[in-house]
Amino acid sequence: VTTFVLVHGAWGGSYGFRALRGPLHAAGHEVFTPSLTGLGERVHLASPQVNLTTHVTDVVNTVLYEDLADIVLLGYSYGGMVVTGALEHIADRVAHLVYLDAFLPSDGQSLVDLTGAPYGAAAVGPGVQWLVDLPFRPPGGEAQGDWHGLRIAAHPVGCFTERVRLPLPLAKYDFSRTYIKALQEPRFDDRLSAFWRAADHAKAAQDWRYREIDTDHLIPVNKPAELAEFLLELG
Amino acid sequence: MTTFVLVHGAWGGAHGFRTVRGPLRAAGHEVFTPSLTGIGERAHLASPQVDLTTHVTDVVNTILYEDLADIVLLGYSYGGMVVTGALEHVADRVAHLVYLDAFKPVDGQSLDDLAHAGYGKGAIGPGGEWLVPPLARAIHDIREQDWYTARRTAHPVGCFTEPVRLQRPVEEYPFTRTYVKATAEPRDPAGTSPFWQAADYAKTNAAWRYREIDTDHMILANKPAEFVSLMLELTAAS
Repeated sequence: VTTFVLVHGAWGGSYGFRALRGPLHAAGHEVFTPSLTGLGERVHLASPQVNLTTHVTDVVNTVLYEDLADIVLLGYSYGGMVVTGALEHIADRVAHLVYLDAFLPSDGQSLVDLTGAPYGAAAVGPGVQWLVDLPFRPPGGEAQGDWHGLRIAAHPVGCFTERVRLPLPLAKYDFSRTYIKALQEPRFDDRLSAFWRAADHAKAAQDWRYREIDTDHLIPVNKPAELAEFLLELG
Repeated sequence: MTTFVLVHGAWGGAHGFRTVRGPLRAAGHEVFTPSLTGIGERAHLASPQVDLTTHVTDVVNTILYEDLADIVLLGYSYGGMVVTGALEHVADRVAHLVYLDAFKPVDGQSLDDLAHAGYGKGAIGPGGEWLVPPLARAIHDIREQDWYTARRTAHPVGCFTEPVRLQRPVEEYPFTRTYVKATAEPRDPAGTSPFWQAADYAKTNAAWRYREIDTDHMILANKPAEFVSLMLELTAAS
């Protein structure tokens, strides 16, 4: 039995993994999909105080309260920021770290640093917005559009402006590492090129596994079977 | 296949259901165990603003965002307050409502009303305490005692003082109702023990099913196999 901890992305929620839980459970594995505070089913907890540390703590506390060990820890998209920050507290419980078309920050970087997104000083000062709306297309194919579109929540900006803490470079940790890239995303898009840079790094590095899925960024919704197959291979 | 939504008790957390998720899933069911804000793994979100409505919303949003239907909704202990309040929003998604040694309020009652715990006005005014320290609870397997004790967190008082909203009596909804009583708990001599009162009511009322587990209040830690058998029996019958 492998224990998977799957961390969702910005504007999303744990419901985004609904197509993935079944196949992983059916193969005998445990699956935890913590919901990040202020988003998705925890949207009623949104506030200007929610930041990256809040989300790191959401995930770390799930792992520690449930007393999970030898986990496959996966960060999807913005979830890459969160799983990176979680290592400060639970690196010894991680057997395998997976970035799924995700941000791969080094110590001291924020999502704003990686994307150049203009969120600036965040929720500080008069007239400043602390909720960030989804800046691009609604997720999913046509059949999924309404169901997912209804569930998108504005994202507290502190998650994007707070810098991650990472005590050691990823290469120094004992766990194995995989990067999974969604191939159908354009390379030269400011919002998404950070994923390509991370993918290129993983592809060229000895201490990373690298996998590709031929779809767009919304992998857990659009290609759950392929993703489950990769994860079962890791488990 | 049945979808279970299991709601934990005061000072507890979703981790309390770790003993039963595996067996229920192995029997082919889906299991959701939402963590209530400010306690357990969500202890970092504790604040004086956390109240019963927060916890009701935690559970309701899990059901609505995951789009769950025909669920077995179970409230354990304080979780009985939460599942009762959830009916305002998700009654049409509930096939079977289960109170597991739980509070069973009527409209307008708070936990404080039922338990006469004296939490009073809660977090209002100077000197008002908003965190209620956990009650001590014994786990039969002493090797597990430390594990559970380390995870018991103080509980925001607003959860205990806010009255629940319930549009009509629980008996008038079309779903099935079951009360499960832990029978090794002593009856309060003054007759005010709310779990026994609810159990006695369910036992004698045709609108309810009634079951017993021969253990104390910490059913999930102490008798997980019996709990799972009971859930499988109830869902097979409903």
